[in-house]
Parts: sequence; C-alpha cells; structure tokens
Amino acid sequence: MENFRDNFREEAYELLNSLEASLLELEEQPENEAEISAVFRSMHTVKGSAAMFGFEHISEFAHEIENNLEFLRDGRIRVTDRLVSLTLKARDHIRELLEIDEEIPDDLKAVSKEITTEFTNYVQSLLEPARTTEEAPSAPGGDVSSIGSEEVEAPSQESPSGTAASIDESTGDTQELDHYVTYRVRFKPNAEIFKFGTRPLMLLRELAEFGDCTAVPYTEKIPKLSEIEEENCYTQWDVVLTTTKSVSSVRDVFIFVEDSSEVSINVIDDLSEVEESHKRLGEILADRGVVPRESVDRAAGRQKRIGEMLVEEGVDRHEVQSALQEQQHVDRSRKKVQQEMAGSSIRVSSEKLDNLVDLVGEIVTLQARLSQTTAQLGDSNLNTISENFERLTDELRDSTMSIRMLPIGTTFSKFRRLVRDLSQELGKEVEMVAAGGETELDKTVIERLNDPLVHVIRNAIDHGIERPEVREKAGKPRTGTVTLSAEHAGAEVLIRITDDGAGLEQASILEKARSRGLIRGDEDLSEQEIYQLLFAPGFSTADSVTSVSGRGVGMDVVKKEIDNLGGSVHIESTPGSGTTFRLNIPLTLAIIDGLLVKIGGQHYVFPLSAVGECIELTEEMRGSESGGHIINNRGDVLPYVRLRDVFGIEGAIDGIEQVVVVYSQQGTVGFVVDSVIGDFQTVIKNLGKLYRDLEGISGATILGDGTVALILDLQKLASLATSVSTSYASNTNEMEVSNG
Amino acid sequence: MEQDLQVVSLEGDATVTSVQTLKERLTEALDTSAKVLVNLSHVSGMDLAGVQLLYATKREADSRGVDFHFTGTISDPVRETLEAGGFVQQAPADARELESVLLDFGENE
Repeated sequence: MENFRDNFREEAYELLNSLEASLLELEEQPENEAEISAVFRSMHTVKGSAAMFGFEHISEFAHEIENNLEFLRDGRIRVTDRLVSLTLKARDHIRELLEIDEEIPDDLKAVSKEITTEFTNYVQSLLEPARTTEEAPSAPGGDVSSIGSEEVEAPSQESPSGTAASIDESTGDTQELDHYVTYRVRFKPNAEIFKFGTRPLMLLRELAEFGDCTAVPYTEKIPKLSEIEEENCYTQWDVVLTTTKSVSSVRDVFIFVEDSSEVSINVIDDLSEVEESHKRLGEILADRGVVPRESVDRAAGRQKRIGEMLVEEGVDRHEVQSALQEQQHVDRSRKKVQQEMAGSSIRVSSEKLDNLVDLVGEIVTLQARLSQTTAQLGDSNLNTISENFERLTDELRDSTMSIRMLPIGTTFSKFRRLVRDLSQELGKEVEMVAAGGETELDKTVIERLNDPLVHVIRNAIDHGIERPEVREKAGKPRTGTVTLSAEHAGAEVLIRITDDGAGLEQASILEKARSRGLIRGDEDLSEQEIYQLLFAPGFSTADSVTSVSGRGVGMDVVKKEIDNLGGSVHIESTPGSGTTFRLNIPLTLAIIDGLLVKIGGQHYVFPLSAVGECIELTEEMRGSESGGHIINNRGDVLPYVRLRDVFGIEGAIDGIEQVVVVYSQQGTVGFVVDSVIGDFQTVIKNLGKLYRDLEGISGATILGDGTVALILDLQKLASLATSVSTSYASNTNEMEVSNG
Repeated sequence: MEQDLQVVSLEGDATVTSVQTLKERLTEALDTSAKVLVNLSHVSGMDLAGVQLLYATKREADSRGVDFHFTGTISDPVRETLEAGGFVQQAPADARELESVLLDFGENE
C-alpha cells in the first residue's frame, strides 16, 4: 500500500503542477473554457484518487474546492484574479498536505477549514448577484462522507467470463492503464437534472475527452410538445468509450450525479490483447440483457440480418441500434489500437532507468576492456567482433542516454508561478518569457538545476527589475521582462536568464566587496571578476533585506550547484538595460567524453568539453618563469598548475611534460601532466562517502584494464591556479611589458 | 387564424433558461399553421433541453399531421451540441439535411 501511496503522490504532484499551469493560463485568458475544465478536472482527479489511497482529508478538502469550481465550469461565475489566487492557495495547501504521512495535525486541518470557508464565501459572493428565481444551488452529491464508498452498478451480472468484475478490481488503483479498455456507460439522468445545475452534455463531453467515444441517445421518452415538461430531462444514453482511463476515472465523471441518476459502467472489451474477432450483434444484445440468448440463437438460425429479425420479434429498436453502434465502435477501436500499438508511450519509474544507465555504463567499460584485450591478441576474427560490439555499445549508450533526456520546458513553466508570486509580493510588474523549452537535458541535471534557477530568477526580479514607476521614468515599459532561454551548444546546454532591469553597478559591487573584506582595497579586477564577487558566500548588494533576497544566501548556492554539475556561470550586464546570467550546463552527468592523461603512473580524466588544446612544456617556456607558474603560450599569459604538485606525486618524469589548456570561469588555465593518452568514453562513478569532499576530484571511472582513473574537477583546480597566479600578479605585469 | 406556412426563426440561446419561451412560440406555430419551418441559422447556443424541444415539436407535429421541417444553416454551437449528445453521427450540411441524420427523428416510430 505504501508503494501505491507513493505512486499517488507522484501523480498528484503532476496533477497539481498542471493545475497550476492552467490557473496561470486562466489568469491571462479568463474566458478559456478548455483551461477551466482542465482546472476542474485536475482538482476532481486529485479528489478521487486521494480518497482511493486513504488521504481522506485531502479528498474532502479537494471536494469542497471542486464544489465551488463547479460553478465556474457551469458558467455561473467567471474567472477573477482573486479566484485564481484562492485556487492557487488551495493547490499549495494540498501539496503541503501530501507531504504528511501520518494523521493530519489539527493546525493544518484548521488551515483547510479556513481556505474552504474563504473560498466558499467568495464564490457565494460572486453567485449572489447572478442568482435569480432559482433556489440556492445545492451541489448534487455534496455529501463528503459518500466519497470512496460509491460502487459501480453492474446490472448485467453475466458479463462475458466475468471480465467486468476482474478489470474493475485490478484497475481500481490507477488512473491510467497501460492499454485500452472499452467501457459501456449507461447514463440515465434524473428527470430533474437541469434543476441541479448539471448539464448532461457536459458530462458526455468530458467522457469524450478520455478517448474514442460513441454516445447513443435514447430519445423515445421525449414526449410531444403538448406534453413536455420542458425543464425535465427525458434523454438517456449508452456511451461506448475506448480509453486508457481506469474505471474509477470514468466513474468520477459522474460523481455528482450518480446519487440522483442511474449510472452503470461495464467493461465490454479489454484491448490488452487484440484479436481479430469481434462480437456479433446478437452477443452484444444478450450481454446487455436485452434479449434472452435463446432468441438470439433462434434469430441467428434464420439466415437474415439479425438486427432486423430481432426488431421483428419485438425487441426494442433503439436497443438494437445502440448495440449496432457499439459493435462499430469496438471494431473501430480495435483497429486503431492495433495501429497505435507501436507508437504508444509507457511510463517507467526513474529508478529503473537509472539502473539501465548503470548497466549500460558497465557494458561500455567492459567493451573498452574487450577492445584493449583484442588489440593485444591480434586475432582478426575477434577484432571484427569487438568492432561490431563497439558500434552497438555506442548506439546502446546513445539511445539509453536519450531516454533520460527531458525537455527543460517543464522546469521553465514552474517558474511562471514563482515570477507571478514574487512580482506581486514586491509590487513589481514582471512578465516571464521562455524560449527553447524543448531543449533536452539529462533528468538529474534538470532536477538539480531547479534551485540555482530559482535563485537567479529571484535575484533578477528583486534586484534587477525596477518598480513600475521607476521604469516609466527611465522610459522603459512598466512591465519588466525576465527571459529564460535554453539552447544546445556542443556537449553543453546554454541557459540564459535575462532581465531588462537596472543592470549591475560595478562600483557598488566593489564597494560592498571591500566592506565585507572579500577583496583588498587596491585590487584591479576585470569586469567578469567583479561580477563573480556576487557569488562569494555572504555577499549581498541589496541594502534592504526583503523576504525574497538580500540575506546574502542564494547566489553562492547558485555557483556551488552549477559547479557541482560541472557547469559554469557568467554574468553580462549593461547598466540601465539589464543583466544576463549565462549558465553552461553539461548535457549529462552519467557518461562524458574525457581526455585520458597520465601522471606518475596513475590515470586521470579531463572532461573533454573544457579542454582547449594540449601543448608541450618545453624548457624554453619554463625558462621565462620568474618564480611563478606562468608560461608564455603564443604570446598569451597562461597560468599553470603542476598536478604532480597538487596531488603530491613524486618520481621521475618520462619524457616531456604536457600542458592541457583548459577554459574555466577564471580564464584559461594550463595543467601540467606527464603524458596525454587520448580521448576516452568516461562512465562517471561517484566516489564513496569517504572521498566525496575531496578537492579537485569530481568522480572516478573504470578503465579498460579494470583500473580506476580519477576525474578532475577543473573548476576547483583552476581556481587554485589563478589564486597562485594573482599572488604573482606583479610578475605577470612585468612579463606582459617584456613581451610587448 | 389558419396560415398555410409559418417560419419560426429561433434566435439566441435554445437552452434550459429559454425553452419555456420557445415552447410557447412553437406551440403557437403548430396551432395556427399547416406547415411549420424552424430556422436554426441564428441559434447561438443549445443544450439538451433545446434538443429535446426540437424532438418534442417534431413529435407533436407528426401526431397532428402538421408538416414540420428545419430550415437555414446549422451554427457551430448547435452542431457541437448535437454531436456531443450523439444525436447526429455525421455532421449535416444544412438544416434540411439535419432531419435525415438526426437520430430517431423520422416518422417511422
């Protein structure tokens, strides 16, 4: 059961997210009916499944909210900003309630009560002027205690081989099935259903959204004009629906009317196994209990069209017609399912995926060993096999990695809420524009990007975007814009967060940094170096501490997270017209292209994406050294670090040392290694707990011969190098002069 | 006063809130004419109550021997309602065609 509850949570989070998205959409387009029903549906589903998984309190709460939203869906009230805000509040509350495993504490229950009361009062106040001759609308089925106890009425007990019953049980737990099922829904609305404010056709439309839907109305009860009670409902339906929704989802559509109306739902065709055969008309009628099986058999015995025969026998013509349509529907659905089988998607838990990636990593490693061994043996047959295996491994790796790729757009849309809430809180007018949401990134990378992005966006709204009146004075539009964009750039994804706000003031950053003791008074810093000061722990430029930012936490978190991801942050800013944060993020954390090097008999891996070039460290270059680790690389000053020194490796060096030139946030830095071996498909393994905080090492990988190579954390190592070089800054200047 | 032909042009919504008025108009038309045409061109919204009223009118007309037909075009809201309820399986081109595709609308009871 716990597992089911977790599944429910996952699903509920998704629902709440889409609810949020719809609400934000509604705020901009209050008349958008599709979004209104989406909002309603999300709340409705949360309620239904919460009840099913024993989250009674959530279910009751959602039910109350849904009751109020019903008026919205029926068009009795309109979308207002307040209504959106209240629904968002309710949504956040549900989210909070979901986190709680045990009994809901009383204070949270009180919050629920508060929200529902506020909600109901507000909705009633909206309803007040609209109410005319009608009595106070009582939401049908409003009794909370009835939730979860409803049962599917199954009039035809002799359903074929008992499928209806068995499917019912097995699907009760999930909202979405992994295959198509065809249901027959018999819906006989209460004659007075219009007076409850329920519109039967809306329910049918809702069903139609689930999948392929054939509704067959029974109109024979509609009397003549002189006899009709025009405000009564005389129509009933047989609806045949093919969908992946579970029986409970279908039932939920009728949740408000099932107390007063007759609703029965049966599974008539489970399309998990599609065969060629289809039910004969007579069978359908017999299944439905309309005709005794003997009549069907008798009719079938005479070689005539069975439908006509049965009508002649006095069977209700409408029933036959409805059955005929059902037959056509089922045939059509089966054909469609057969066609779609290949193209359909499935949900897989991310745990399974991670497992798969691990296994592929093992295979990649094993394949490397195979190649190496094959090369040593020199057997041409084995060589062919090994090469083919290598090709397949590459393909397997690529397609496995692609499964883990998700569009970043889902994260972007989450930020719309953040922007909305923040700008309201701060009294600013801010619009968020997202571009490149389809750009794909590894799932784990996306998850870990969330916090840094939140901080950068907060920062942009709090410090970047000015108040509307200030903006107007400066000749800018009142509404500020925060643009989020993502695009591919080689093995990295480039994410930009741009605001059209005030821009950064270098002078005030410097001043603050000095007053915090982050820099000495006399340092001469480049523009980029000044901006990087923002990421120093404890740095904050806002003079006033707001609840949003200015507490000196945040930006250093950004830097840290991005570093951990193996990415980098750059800032560009123009005073008066805005700031851009540029995040370079590696596509994946699992497998990278690496450059294998050797230092003192040990192997190390450089992430290849950061490597610019490899040069030899000649005596001549070394000769220009004047105490510091600086070399002259084709006229450029290149600070370098000897990794032997960093890792404390001693011993003789075989041959000429190599410098691997790396682009880092601190600029170009050289790392001296013994020798460069070549590129290497690196499957990243995490280091154990003991080594997790090791400086300069980000992980490890297993080489073809089974030995371990450490992966270098270039950002850390580069900052080491530059700190060495700044202490020799005076030397640098001299050298530049001598070079010039 | 007995008329040969009367065209009842429905305008606005044919929904539960307006069916009462529509019923009165249609009843009057059936009472006074031997042939009634209902123009659906200007119906801006229709719900189940409206659909039922059309059926009821047809049934009343049939029982009295009044010639009853639709005329004009079918607006999108009407078409949508009829499709949602399954009253038509294929969309009719115009109101005249509606009579033949509307489920159980014929006289062959």
